[in-house]
Amino acid sequence: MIRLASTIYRLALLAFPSSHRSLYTAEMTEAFELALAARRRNGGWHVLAFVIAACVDNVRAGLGERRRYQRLSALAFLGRDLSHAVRSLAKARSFSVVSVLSIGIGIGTVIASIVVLRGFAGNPPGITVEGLVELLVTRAGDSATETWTYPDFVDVRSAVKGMTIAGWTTGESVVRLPTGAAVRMDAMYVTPDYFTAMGVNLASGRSFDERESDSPAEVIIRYDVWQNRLGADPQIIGSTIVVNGTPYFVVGVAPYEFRGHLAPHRHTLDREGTGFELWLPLSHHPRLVGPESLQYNRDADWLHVVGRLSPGMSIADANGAVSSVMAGLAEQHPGSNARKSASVEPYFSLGARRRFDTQIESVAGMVVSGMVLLVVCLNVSGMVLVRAGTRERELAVRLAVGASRARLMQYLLAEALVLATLGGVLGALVIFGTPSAVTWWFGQPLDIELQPDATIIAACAALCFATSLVFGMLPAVRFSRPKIISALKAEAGCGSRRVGRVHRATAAIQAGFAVPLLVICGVVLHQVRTTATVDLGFKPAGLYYLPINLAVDGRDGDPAFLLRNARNNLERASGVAAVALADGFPLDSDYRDARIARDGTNEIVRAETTAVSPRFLETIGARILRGREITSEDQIGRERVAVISEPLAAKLFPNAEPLGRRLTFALDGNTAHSYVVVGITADLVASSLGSKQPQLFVALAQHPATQVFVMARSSLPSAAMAATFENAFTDFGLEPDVIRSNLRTAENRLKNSRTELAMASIASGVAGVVALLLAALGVFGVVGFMVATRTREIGVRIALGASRTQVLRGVLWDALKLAVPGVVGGLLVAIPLVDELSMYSLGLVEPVAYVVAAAITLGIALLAGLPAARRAAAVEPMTAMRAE
Amino acid sequence: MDALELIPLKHSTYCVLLALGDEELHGYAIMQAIAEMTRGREAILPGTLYAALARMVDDGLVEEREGRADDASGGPRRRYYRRTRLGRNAARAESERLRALLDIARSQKLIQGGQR
Repeated sequence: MIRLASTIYRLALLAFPSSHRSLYTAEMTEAFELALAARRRNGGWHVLAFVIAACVDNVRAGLGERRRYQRLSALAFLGRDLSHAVRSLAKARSFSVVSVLSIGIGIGTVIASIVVLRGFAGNPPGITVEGLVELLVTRAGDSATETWTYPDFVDVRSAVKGMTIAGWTTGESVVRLPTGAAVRMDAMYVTPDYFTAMGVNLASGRSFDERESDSPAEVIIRYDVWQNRLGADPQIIGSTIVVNGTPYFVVGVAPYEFRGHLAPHRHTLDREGTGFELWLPLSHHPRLVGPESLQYNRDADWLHVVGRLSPGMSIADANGAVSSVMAGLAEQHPGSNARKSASVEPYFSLGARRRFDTQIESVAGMVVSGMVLLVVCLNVSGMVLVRAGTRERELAVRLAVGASRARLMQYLLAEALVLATLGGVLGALVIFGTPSAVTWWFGQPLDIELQPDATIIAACAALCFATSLVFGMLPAVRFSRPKIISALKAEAGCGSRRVGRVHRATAAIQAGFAVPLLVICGVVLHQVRTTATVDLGFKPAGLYYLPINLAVDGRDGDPAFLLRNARNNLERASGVAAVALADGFPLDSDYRDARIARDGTNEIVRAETTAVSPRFLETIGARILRGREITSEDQIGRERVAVISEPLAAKLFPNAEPLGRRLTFALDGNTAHSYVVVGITADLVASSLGSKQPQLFVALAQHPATQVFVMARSSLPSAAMAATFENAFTDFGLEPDVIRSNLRTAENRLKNSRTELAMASIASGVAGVVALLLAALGVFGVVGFMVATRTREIGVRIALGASRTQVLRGVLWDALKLAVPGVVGGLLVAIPLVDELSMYSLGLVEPVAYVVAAAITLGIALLAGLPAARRAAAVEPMTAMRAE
Repeated sequence: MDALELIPLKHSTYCVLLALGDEELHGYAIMQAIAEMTRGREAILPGTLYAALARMVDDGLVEEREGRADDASGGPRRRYYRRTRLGRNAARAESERLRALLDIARSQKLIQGGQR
């Protein structure tokens, strides 16, 4: 009786996990038997009830213990699995290195795009974003704009309660330093409330005087301008600095980190990306002074408006308030304001209007970098499959001795986690270490601040974890299936697995990516070589140019008149062969695209358009083929004229004489005008060496510009030429320092253009090599797995008489078959791309580039397949026979 | 580990800690001690007891010691359990918790001043 009860009780003990049973079964049974013996005195029913209760208790407590053990073992095993993974990866060195490198590339790409996006659209330092808003204007039938007219701004500011409203615009200023040198600084013209609206407390001093009209000449400077440029003068507040020729009192110093509220690259005039350096009263802006002041002009919109909501005010409230004021203005000034309405949007560093587009771009950037990471994951997962395939027996033994499937998956995933973490650390080190490495190598600090913060570190950790799951899960699921017997029977590999379609397709796609990149690299390299010898169409040697901004420079009188004088001075100087003005010149990297139509047709040809003074073509050394160049006769009021380059003539008038014919186009999106062609130049290079845009020149007198280049041809050396320019510009009011630091030579510009082109080639070469590397890893993984799964079949073949060469060839053929579709696709993509990019006729280079790129890719695919092929050829037939 | 982190204790854990007192007992003796101290109102079955003991050993509430091979019982070699300092503190903390509840029950006149 007792024995039967004990047996039943022992059966119920099976509910406990085996490790618990091995420790306590004997004691528990003894305790049960002793308790049972004590109950026998009370009769049979009591015994039966006790046995049932004890068995039920066993099942309940046993299941609880099982759950507890699982929790404990998952944690304990994780540590053990991780250390085992590290040891086993250290043994498989080449596998680990290749995997870590590829994961590093993948995770690095994603981190880089996160960093770039944050740098691109992140909030600039120093401002309080909470409660900061932008005020936009919409004209009926148009999209919203950021610019307001001054009187509208003033009316809205005085009528809307509950928010601080400030106006701002950018400008450039020439500041005379205590050393006597003059430097250009990026300035912002702002209303006194600007700093309050930004939530910025000045480091010392105060904001501008509240009076807006007739306000005193006051300036606020940035902390580091004070420290570095103005000699850290302790008496800076109240001292005077000369800005644009006018003395200004320094009334405040902005904190070091505050560089204006715009994202760094949004500074149109910013040359070094350091942000705004000084703030001037808006009332001193050139548009609000002088007889042509826009103070009462409700048509000219040029002023940006920001605001800070007072606590408790919502954007909707602000929107309602601003809209109702604008509606009132529309009634008061129907002529100018009838179609205008206003809205309030939350602040965005790139401008509230750009928020949506930027979000789309951010998502697109993240998707692209995510795709790279996904491809890397698929590759690594292929390689992990190969590795797991070769360890199938070990895994099967683990299953056989009682490891659960979850345990085995955890064991396999631990390796993936270690690999992903190492890859992530590598990627992050490369991204965040690059600036310091560049600084160390070139001895020049890089103007990029890359500091990983908590968000980035958290993102990296999450990426590593997600990555390990993505590439580790598939092999873990596949190889934890309990197919113990078949794996134990076969000495190596089982024939039942197949390489998935996803892996094959990924390998092919990667090969496809590599081809166009390699072709482009080749073509660009060829172009670099060609540009070294090709006729640029102008003569850079001896050509000097000086950029002039008429909005800032030449303020001592009528800038146009002063510039004309300076030009005449320059022409008369000894050693100067020719002088001209233009709003651009060859290789200036400024794209002045216009859509040109032949009169009477709607066919559009795009051309690079430059407004030039007389003798421009002569000065830059371009050849006139027929007709004339722009002359002093081509003034406002006269017929508009154009000089076109030969390729443009060939495009517009394929079989006719262009001279005297008419063209229609609009410059800067203004009204279209009709122009008569008066001259044809030989082909000459456009804004950059990579561009094949044809050229068109119009008269600067008929299209005045504020930003112009004064160009001079001379055989004088740079120093002498600088002195010549200084003398010529004495009356113009341009500081000698500004001239010396801004005078450039076209030869230098050409050198920079060549470097830019070479960098483009290197960049596409690096991208090509990375793509090739990824493709090679993909092929390596897939072919390796194929071989691992077909070992037995290959052994049988060899036993049946297949030569090792045949086996080798067979596997390499598989590798080729994998890459060929990708290569064909890549070539199809490359052809239109190359057509778009090439500047000069490529001739034989183009087919050669295609063939070489395809050959390299296929060669790499073969190379990637080689280790697996050799492994296959080395299979011992006996292995296969024994397995059977 | 702090005893407070383990509070509230499972009922079986609390019973075992009280039953052990400052003695060193084997499993069946603990079952008997629980029955005795509650005058037979509480009984613990071997399954629950040994699950609780395994858990308490892991948590450091009790120490486990292998019994001698020449154990007087003549049965399998027994393990003996002793309450640790943490176990004692945990039992005290759990008792305090229960007393606070009892005080509330008394104030609501659900039971009378400490006497059943």
